Amino acid sequence: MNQEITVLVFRFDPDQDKEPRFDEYRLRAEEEVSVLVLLNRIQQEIDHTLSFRSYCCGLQMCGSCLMKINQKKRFACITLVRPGERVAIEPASYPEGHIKDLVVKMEDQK
Amino acid sequence: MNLTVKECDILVIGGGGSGALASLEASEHRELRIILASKAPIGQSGLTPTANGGTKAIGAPDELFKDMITGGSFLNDQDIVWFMVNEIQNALEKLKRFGIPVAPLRGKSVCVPSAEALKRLRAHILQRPNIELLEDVLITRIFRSDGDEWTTTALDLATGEFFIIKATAMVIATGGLTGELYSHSSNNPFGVTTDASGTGHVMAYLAGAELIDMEMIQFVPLPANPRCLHLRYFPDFWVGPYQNRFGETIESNVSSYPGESYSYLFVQKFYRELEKGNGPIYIDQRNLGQPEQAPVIQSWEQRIKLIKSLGIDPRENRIELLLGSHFGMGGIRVNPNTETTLPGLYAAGEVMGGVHGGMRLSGYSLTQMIVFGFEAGKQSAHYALRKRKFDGLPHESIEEERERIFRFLKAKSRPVSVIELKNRLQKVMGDLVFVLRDEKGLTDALKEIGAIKSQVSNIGVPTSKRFNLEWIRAIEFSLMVEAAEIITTSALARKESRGFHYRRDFPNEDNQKWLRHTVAKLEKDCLKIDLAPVVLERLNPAGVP
Repeated sequence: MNQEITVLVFRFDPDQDKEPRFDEYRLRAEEEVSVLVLLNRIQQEIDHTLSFRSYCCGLQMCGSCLMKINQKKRFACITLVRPGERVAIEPASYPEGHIKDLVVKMEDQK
Repeated sequence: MNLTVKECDILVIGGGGSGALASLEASEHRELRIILASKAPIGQSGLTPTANGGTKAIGAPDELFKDMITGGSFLNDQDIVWFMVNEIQNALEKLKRFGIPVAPLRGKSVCVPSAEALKRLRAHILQRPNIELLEDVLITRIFRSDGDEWTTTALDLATGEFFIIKATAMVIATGGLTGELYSHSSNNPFGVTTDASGTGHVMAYLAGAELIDMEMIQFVPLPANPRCLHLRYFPDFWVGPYQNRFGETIESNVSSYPGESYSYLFVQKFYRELEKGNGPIYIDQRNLGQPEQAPVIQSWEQRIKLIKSLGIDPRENRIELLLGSHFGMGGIRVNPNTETTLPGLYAAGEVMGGVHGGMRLSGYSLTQMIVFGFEAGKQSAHYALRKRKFDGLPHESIEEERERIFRFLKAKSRPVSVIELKNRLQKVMGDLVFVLRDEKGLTDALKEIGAIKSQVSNIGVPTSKRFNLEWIRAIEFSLMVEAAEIITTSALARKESRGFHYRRDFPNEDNQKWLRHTVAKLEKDCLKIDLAPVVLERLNPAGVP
């Protein structure tokens, strides 16, 4: 099953870019892989400029990796992508609270 | 250079349970101004949210004490342990006042739902007028000023702004250090980091604090496929049976070991089986009935559903295992009141040393987090209330640190990436500073760590200062490599085998010579290891007067 996964990632650095764009990355994968692991691989192996919250609690409870995956809000840590599939990743919110790429400010729930 | 300087009475570093509790406890003194700095939002960094909730708290304190000291092979600081087991009930009562549910679990354990707890603690923190919560702020160095005041350099990750925080007292609650040093670690659920990078240990050491027993690292069996790491939350799974690749049972039930699957004796047996070429090791439970459920743990149903949806139900799949890092027993040298050897500097949680000796038993790290989180808040507040104020900043040190941090952003002729160096570091730690160690391996490891360290200044990162993940990783790596050096040097110094530190060249536990802590400290810019006797006031090993 060694095939490519195509990942479209929302990119925007307000300090450097005029407007948001999507960058496309292709990664080889032998089996299902989580979106969070895909992002880590992109950041480490292909594009160091990508920013996201790289933390994982492992219990889908902390909310750190909440983002829009194929237009729905999901936890990137447990959302699996199969080889051959294509996935689009956007920040959980934009422009409200957006910092850079997939990173948004944590909301204050007082 | 015009720098923003924030001032406070107490700076707490670390967004896990200990840091949250320390800042809340200190803030009971309404006249004190507290800053809590965390490199991510509270509840979204470190190991607290990854904990299963089991907290050892039930039963006579002297029984808990005896379990811990014998489990730790008598290397624990007995005063610290005694304080902890006698204080936990009080501390749990205080925790309940924050609306955190504490339910009986089983045996000597209660369940403190740690991720949920952090969410509630964060809400309390936001309501306290005298706590300023700085999230997405990375502390890069701490400096002790002449008058025993504390200065830190900090990076606002969202903007890349470098600024200063001045504090009368400081609490380091930065958590663990083993997750980033080994390629396989329970600290990295699903194969993704929790950033438990040991920066707090190293910053304290660079500021002159002492680190004890840093060679003591707990290694545990873990699923080989990172996606299966979720199984770590199913205690019944880890009982066994463990089989080698020939289907031979190497251990049918680990319950007989003190520490069960977290026991150093079992882990060493596992490792030797791999060395003999009989790996991989599996747990095969396909013929067992359905496990008993533990409905006390919140979201248990959800967990069961998750392992089924991830295709990792151990009743349907044979699970391949590896050994990986889990917990650092060593840490900043403190007394039971969390005071380090430096006035005004406190440490709480996994970053403190002396609690677990040579082996941590499961359930005791949340006990440690809760008891010493509160204690550090209380003690740092007392210090801040009685301390005279001094002015002045260590301008030269600040400027040096600013240059060091921003040098990563400058163009390099032959830049190296963080991951390149991190892979090298994880390889040498996994090959030579792992379950079984010896002098030659550790000496070779130090050479390679030195070579990696010399490459840190060649790390190049993208230039945008706004939430620059690669820059954050570079800064943390520069401290992580120091942690590796301290661990390896301490391991070389301990010429015996005790708990999780096993030396092939010194295979016996030596109570005559080695009931001592290794003490790592910086002397004239060099790492030095001293030895300090373990105080055996309450309980002695057999044969030791």
